[in-house]
Amino acid sequence: MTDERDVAAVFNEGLAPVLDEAPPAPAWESLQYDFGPPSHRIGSGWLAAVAAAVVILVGVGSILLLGRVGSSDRGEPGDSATPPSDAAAGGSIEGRWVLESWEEDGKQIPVKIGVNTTGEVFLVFTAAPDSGGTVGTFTGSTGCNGIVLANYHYSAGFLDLGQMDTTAMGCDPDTAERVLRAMVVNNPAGIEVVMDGDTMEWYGRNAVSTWSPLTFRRTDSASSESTSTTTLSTTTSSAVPGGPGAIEGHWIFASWQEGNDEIRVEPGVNADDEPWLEFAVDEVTSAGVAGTFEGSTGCNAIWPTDFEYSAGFLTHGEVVATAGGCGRDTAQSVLLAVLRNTPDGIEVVMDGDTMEWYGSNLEGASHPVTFRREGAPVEPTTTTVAEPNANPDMRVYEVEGVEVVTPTRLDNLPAQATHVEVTTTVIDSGDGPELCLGAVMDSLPPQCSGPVANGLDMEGWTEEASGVRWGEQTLVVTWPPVDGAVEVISQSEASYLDLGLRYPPGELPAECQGVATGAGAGPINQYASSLGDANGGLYVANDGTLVLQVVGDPAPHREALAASGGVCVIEVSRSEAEQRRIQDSIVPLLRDIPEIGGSYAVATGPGGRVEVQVPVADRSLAQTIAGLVDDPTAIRLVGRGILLP
Amino acid sequence: MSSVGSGDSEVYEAVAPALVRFATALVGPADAPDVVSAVVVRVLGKRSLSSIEKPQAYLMQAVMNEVRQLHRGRARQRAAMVRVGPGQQARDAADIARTDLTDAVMALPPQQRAAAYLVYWCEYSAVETAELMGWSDGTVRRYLHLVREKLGRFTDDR
Repeated sequence: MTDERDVAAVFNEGLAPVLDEAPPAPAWESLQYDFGPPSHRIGSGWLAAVAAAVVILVGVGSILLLGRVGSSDRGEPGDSATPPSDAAAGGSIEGRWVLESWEEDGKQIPVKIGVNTTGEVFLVFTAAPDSGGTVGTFTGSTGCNGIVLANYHYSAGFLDLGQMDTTAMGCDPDTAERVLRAMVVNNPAGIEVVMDGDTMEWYGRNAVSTWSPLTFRRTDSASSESTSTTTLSTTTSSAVPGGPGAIEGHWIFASWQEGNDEIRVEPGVNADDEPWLEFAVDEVTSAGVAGTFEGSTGCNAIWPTDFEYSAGFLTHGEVVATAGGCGRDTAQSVLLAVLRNTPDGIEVVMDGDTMEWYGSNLEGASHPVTFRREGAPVEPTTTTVAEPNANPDMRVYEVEGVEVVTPTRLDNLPAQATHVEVTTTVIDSGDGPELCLGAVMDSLPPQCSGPVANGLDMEGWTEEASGVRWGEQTLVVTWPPVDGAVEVISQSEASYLDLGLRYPPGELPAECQGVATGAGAGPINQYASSLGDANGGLYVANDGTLVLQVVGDPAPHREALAASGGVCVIEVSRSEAEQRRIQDSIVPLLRDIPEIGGSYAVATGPGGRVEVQVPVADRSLAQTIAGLVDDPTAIRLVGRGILLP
Repeated sequence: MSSVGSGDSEVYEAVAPALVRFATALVGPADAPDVVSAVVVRVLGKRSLSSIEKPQAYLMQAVMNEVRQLHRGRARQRAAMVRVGPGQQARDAADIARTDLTDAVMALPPQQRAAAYLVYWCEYSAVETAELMGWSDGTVRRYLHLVREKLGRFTDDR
C-alpha cells in the first residue's frame, strides 16, 4: 500500500525543479497590448492582439517546425522582419468570402463541389459598428455544415475566430470542411491573414497535414444584392394573399423545420427570450413594398435593416445583430442563418397571420421557418418532446480527445444531460420499477439493477413471475439519477426492442466501400490471432461487415486474405493488446463514477479505441473519463439514451 | 461588451502569482505566462475581474480549461512532428534539469497533476480542491488515486 505522505513527497520533489523556474506573472499593462481606446474594447477576440505578439515572440519556431509550405512575394507571414499587414492597410475583412483553394504539400488544390466538398465553403464577416472592422460576427458554411454565428477579432493581420461551432452533419466529400476546421482549431492564437484586394490568404499551423495557405475570394455581399431587383423571382403574387403590404407589422418567430420535425421556438428552451421581427413599409413600388425591419433574435438585437418585398421574395440589406452571449441560442442561429445565407432572396409564403420563409438555413437546406403575427392565436402545443421512436440524429463529438458517440435531438453536446429517452427493460421486484440500463440477466423472472423510475405507471403490465413484473418501455426521464432515481416525464410501450447501442451511420470505413468482403469470420479471426502486436482487433460495422484493424500497412493483410474472399482491413494506431491493457485499467475506475451508476460495458472497438458504453454520454462524463486515462484519444464513449432538450 | 473595471488591476495583481505557479505546474515555465495571459485577456473580453465573486477559483478553472486545450494541441503537434522530422521538441524540455521523477510528474494528465499540485504542494484538502476547481470530491480522490498508482514506483526507495 502506497503511503499518501510518501506520494506527496515524491510528487513535490518531482515538481520542485519545475516550480523553481516559475516565471513572474505577466505585467497587467502587457495584457492591454494594442487594445485601442476603451470604447473599442469589444468582444472576446482581444486574444488575437496578444496572440499576435505571442506568436511573433515565441511561436515562430513552432510554425517553421511544422513546415508551412506557403510562400508569398510579401515575405513569409510570421517573419518578424516583414510584419503582417494591418487590418486597415490590408483591407476590410467584412463581406462574404468563398474558399477557393488550399495548398497541400506545395500543390494548389481547388475547392470543387462534388470532389472535395458537398457545397460552397464560405464565411460572412459582419463588422460591429464603429469598430473599424476589427471586431464583429461571422457565420457561413463549411460546405457541409452551417457555422453558428460567433464573434471574430481581426487586428494586426491576425484573425481570431474563437471556437467555431457548427452543425454536425456528416458529408461526403468533406475534405474542404476538414481543411477549414483544422485551420481554425489548430490556430487558437490567431490565423495570419494576407489580403490583396478581393483575395484573402490564411496562413497558420496545421498539425494534420501541411495545408496552407487557404485562399478565399470575396464575393458579392448580401448588402450589394439587396437593392437588386434582377434576382427576384417571377413567382406569381398569389403566394402573397393580401398583397405585399401584408408583411408590415410585428412577427414572432414561432418555429422551424429540422428534417421532418417541426421545432417550436420556446423561450427558456432554445431561446433566451421571444425572437421577433417588425417590418415597417416606407414605400410602395410598382413591384411590391420597401422599408426597414428590426427585431430581436431572442437574445441579441437586430438593427434596422432595409428590405424589399416583391413577387413573394424578400431581399434585404446586411443584417447586423449585437453579439452578446446567449444562454440558449439555437433559435437565434436558425433565424440569422436564414437571413444571412439566402442572399438571392427568401421566398415568403403568407397565409393570414402566418408567414413562412424558405431559404438556406443552418442545415443548408430550404426548410421553412415560420412566423406568426403578434396577437394571432398560438397553435396548440402537441408536445415539447420529440415523438418517441422517431429516429434521432447520431452524432460524433470530440471532448478532450475522447470520441463521444450519442443519439441526440440537440444541436450540441450538452455539458450535462437533463432529459433522455431510453427504450429499455423495466423490472419491478417490489422496490420500485428499475431501468435496466446495463446488463439484464436472462432468467425467469429477468433481473437487473438500475435507477428507480419514479412516476412510472405499471398498470396493465402483464409480464409477471414470482411477484416480479417487467416490460419493455420507451421512456423520457430526467437525468442524471438523483439518489438512485429518475423522474418519468412520459412513457409508452416500446414498439421496437432497442436494447442495444446505436452507432453513427457510415461506420464502414471509406477504404472498404466496394471492396470484396467474402472471407468468413473463422478465417478472419484465425488470421487476426496470428498477427500478434499487429492485430488491432475486429469489429462489426453497421452493415454487418467484419472489419479487421491492423497496426501498420494494411495492404499485405488484404492480399493475404484475398484468397479467402477478401476482407475489409484498416490501419489503426493501437494493437488489440494495448487496447485491452487500457480496458483493464479503466474498468475499475468506471465503477466509482456516479453518473454511470454501475451500468457500463467496455470493449475494444472501432478506430483502435476502447469503447466505453454508458447509459448517457454528455460532455461532463467525457471530461471525467478523459481525466482518468493517459491518452484520452484511446477512448470512444458511446451513450445509449437519446439526449433531449 | 466588455469593460475593464477600475479594480481589475488590483484583482489581477492579487491572484496572478498563484495563477502563474499553477500554470507552471501544469505546462511548465515556458508556457505558463502565455497561458495566464490568454486566460485573463479572454475573461476580460467578457467581464470585469472585479465582478467575479471568487476570481482565483474562476481563473484557475479557466487556466485548467486552457491547459486542456493546449494539451490537445500539443498532442496533435507531436503527431505532426513525427511526420515533419525528429528533434523538434526542444521547447517542451526548456532548460529544466529533468530527472525521471520530474518527467513522471510532468507526464501526468493535466487534471491529475492539478489535483496533486493543489493537495500535495499547496496543501488544500480534497474538499477545498474540489470547490476551487469545480469538481466533485470523488473526482479529486480519483485523480489522486491515479497519481498514487503512477508515482508509486518512486516511493519504494523511501
